[in-house]
Amino acid sequence: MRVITYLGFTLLSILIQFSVMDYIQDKMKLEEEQTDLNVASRKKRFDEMLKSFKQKPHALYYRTHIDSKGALKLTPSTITYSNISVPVTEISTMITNTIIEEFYDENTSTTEEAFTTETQYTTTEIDNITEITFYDKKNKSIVKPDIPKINLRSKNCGCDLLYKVCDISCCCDNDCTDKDKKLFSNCNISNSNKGESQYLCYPFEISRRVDKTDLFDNLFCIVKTNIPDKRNLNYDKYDVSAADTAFKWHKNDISSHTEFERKPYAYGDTIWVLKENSIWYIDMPSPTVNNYCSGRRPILFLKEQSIACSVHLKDLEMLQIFKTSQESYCISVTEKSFESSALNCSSLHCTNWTIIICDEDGSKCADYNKTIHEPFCNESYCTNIALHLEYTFYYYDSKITNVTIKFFVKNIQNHIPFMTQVIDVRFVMANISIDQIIKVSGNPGYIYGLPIISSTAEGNHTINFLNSTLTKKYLTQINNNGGLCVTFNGTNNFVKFGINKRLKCRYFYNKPIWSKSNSTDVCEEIESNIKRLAGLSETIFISALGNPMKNKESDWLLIKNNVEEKDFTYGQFLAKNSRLRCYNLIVRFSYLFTFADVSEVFTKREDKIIAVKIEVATQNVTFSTDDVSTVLTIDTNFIDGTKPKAYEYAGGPHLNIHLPNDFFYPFPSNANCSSKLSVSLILCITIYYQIK
Amino acid sequence: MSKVANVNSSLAYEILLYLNSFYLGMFFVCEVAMGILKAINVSYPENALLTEAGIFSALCLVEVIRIFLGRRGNLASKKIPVFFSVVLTIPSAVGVCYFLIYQTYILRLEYIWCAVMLMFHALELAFAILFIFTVCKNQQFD
Repeated sequence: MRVITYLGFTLLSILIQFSVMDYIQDKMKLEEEQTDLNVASRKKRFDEMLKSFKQKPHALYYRTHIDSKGALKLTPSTITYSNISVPVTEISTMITNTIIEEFYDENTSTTEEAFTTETQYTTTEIDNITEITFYDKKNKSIVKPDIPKINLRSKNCGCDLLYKVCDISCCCDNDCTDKDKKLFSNCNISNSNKGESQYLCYPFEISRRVDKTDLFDNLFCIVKTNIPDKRNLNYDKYDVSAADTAFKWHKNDISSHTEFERKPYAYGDTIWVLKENSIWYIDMPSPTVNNYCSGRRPILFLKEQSIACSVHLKDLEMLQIFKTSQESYCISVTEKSFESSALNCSSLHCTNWTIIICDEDGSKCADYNKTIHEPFCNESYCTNIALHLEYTFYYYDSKITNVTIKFFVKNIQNHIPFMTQVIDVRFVMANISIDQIIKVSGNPGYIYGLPIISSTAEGNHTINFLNSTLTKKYLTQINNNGGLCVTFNGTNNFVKFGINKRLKCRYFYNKPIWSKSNSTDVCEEIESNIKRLAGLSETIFISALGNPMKNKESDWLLIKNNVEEKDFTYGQFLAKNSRLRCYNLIVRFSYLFTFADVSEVFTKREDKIIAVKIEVATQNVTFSTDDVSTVLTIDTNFIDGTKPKAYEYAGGPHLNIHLPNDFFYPFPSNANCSSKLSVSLILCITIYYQIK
Repeated sequence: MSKVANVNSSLAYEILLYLNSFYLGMFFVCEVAMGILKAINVSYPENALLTEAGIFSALCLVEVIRIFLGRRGNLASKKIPVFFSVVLTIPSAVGVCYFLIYQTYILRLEYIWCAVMLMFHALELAFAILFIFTVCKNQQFD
């Protein structure tokens, strides 16, 4: 019996050993000596505190205010506890990357013994709940100023990003008429007019960034399966006729789009073109079985699409489009079309194609001119090749008023077998160019990936943002173009919300180093050029919210920098003026944005930038006569101010479990009887298993 | 006059068995948790989950007996329990190999767990055989 008991005990011990470490026992001994720190004494002290209040809080949640009319009256406690009140959430632009310390720094918001303060009880005028978390470790209770969000409907329309223009599929956009909304597949007009349901449009919340490591994903991935090839399927039960009566999955059947109907465009319809008095539909290449552009899919009305697939040079879509645009017109069915059965531009509304040629980053665009922009190849490379196309359909007054195709051209080497072409299709429900429409970067908070709104005006930033077409509306930074540092007002140069990146490029000084007799003057000019390139020479404000229309003047944040704090720049000619050494030259810029989610609803984020700063770093740089250049580093960091800088987890449970004294040597020397018994038992088990 | 007994127990073998007992506990808990995770997230063929649960239970039982016999034989300088422990290493290793190769869904984490378990088996087998040889060599015949 003893052996069987030991077997059971061993199994139990293994499990217990797993969860209980030896060092815990040592730790427990130490903790026993510190009687003040145990749970019982703490509880006693907490009870003592509670006795001083007439109105006791409920559990761990303290209601700081009952209603707005009658303030919660609490008798001031006669017992004074050493504590620190909740820090004042005063946000300064000087604190940028350490803003969290003001919000959640455990050093400032923790207190050694007390749990809350009288000040907090009596002065808070907001109806909210303050959660107090008890941490076992170090006997600290951390007062988290994390106010739970109230689940209320916000009246902000998150998808309304175009100013005074109807956003496609945005049911809550007031710029859209009922007629427009009827075109959208996801808007139910009858419901959208009934109060809050029109504010349930958050299509961009899906694109939130997720910052997490994939270590655990890798460990938990299935690396091998041993599922049997054949399963026992009962084919007799399959009823062919049942398939016709049951519901079916939606299927993109191209044939359903190929039949022209004389009716206005509706959401998801194919876009029709008139070519030689016959009707065709517009399509674009798409990948099928592999990544090659072997298939084609129709362009559908109001459905924004983006595809990327590999293609040979001779099969590039741009070559096809040149031909199509010359031979055909994009058509819309209007009321006039019903009166005539003819298929021509007199009965249908015809629209010409507008082809625009832009450089690779879209900074410079011009109308297509065949003599200048026609693509051609020589033995080594091809010029004016567009690997990125963008269709823009303008829909206004129940018809397509304009179709613009932008070719983002570049030069490519001739011998590349495959290249990736990207085709974007978008729709604009306006009669003006998309470039003239004011676009906001969120409503009201910023949306991940959209540009930061900026202003260089001295005041009235919001008015300037809406009126001015000349000044920069979005924050730009230095970009790398062929290894060189460049800056211009292109989409690629915009600082985009939430995207952290590091960029390196080379700055060239276009004068000889001996252009000035004084070496310090040369170094100062180089630094001045670098500062101008980085935008440090002008005063820039950025909008705290993605929609600046709701900004107060205080919501335009000045971008501060630490240039004044750096050591002064000076130079020195070396080796008989053949080399120039500049000391304390700015070579590194770090854009630090601190943002916080200020939304009051659970279902939606409302990211607001609360501080912004550019930090510069210097270095001693040596230039030679034949290479007056240096590498600049530009970092962009977005810091979530609502996250603590470090998480502190509660300690493990303290289990007062001891191992038996004879655990490590449980076999007494005189246990001959039990020894024989155990051997016989094991032998029986082994034989049983072998036979089985 | 008392007779001085020969001390033949292997310290390395004892350390391995001791560590293995901890590892078995972890292996048992983690595999059960992983089995629950897989049962929730992936679909198993008929009876596969039940079969695997049965094999796993048998494996744990064999492992407990194997470690018990090994420790007992080693500390008491008895070769017969160690011999049975060595014998039980075979079904135990086969069981681990099943989970390493033949179970329905094998996760990367399980590769690591089973590999460590097999490593224990191999080392313990080597030290157990050495221990048996040592005991046989030092056996005194009256």
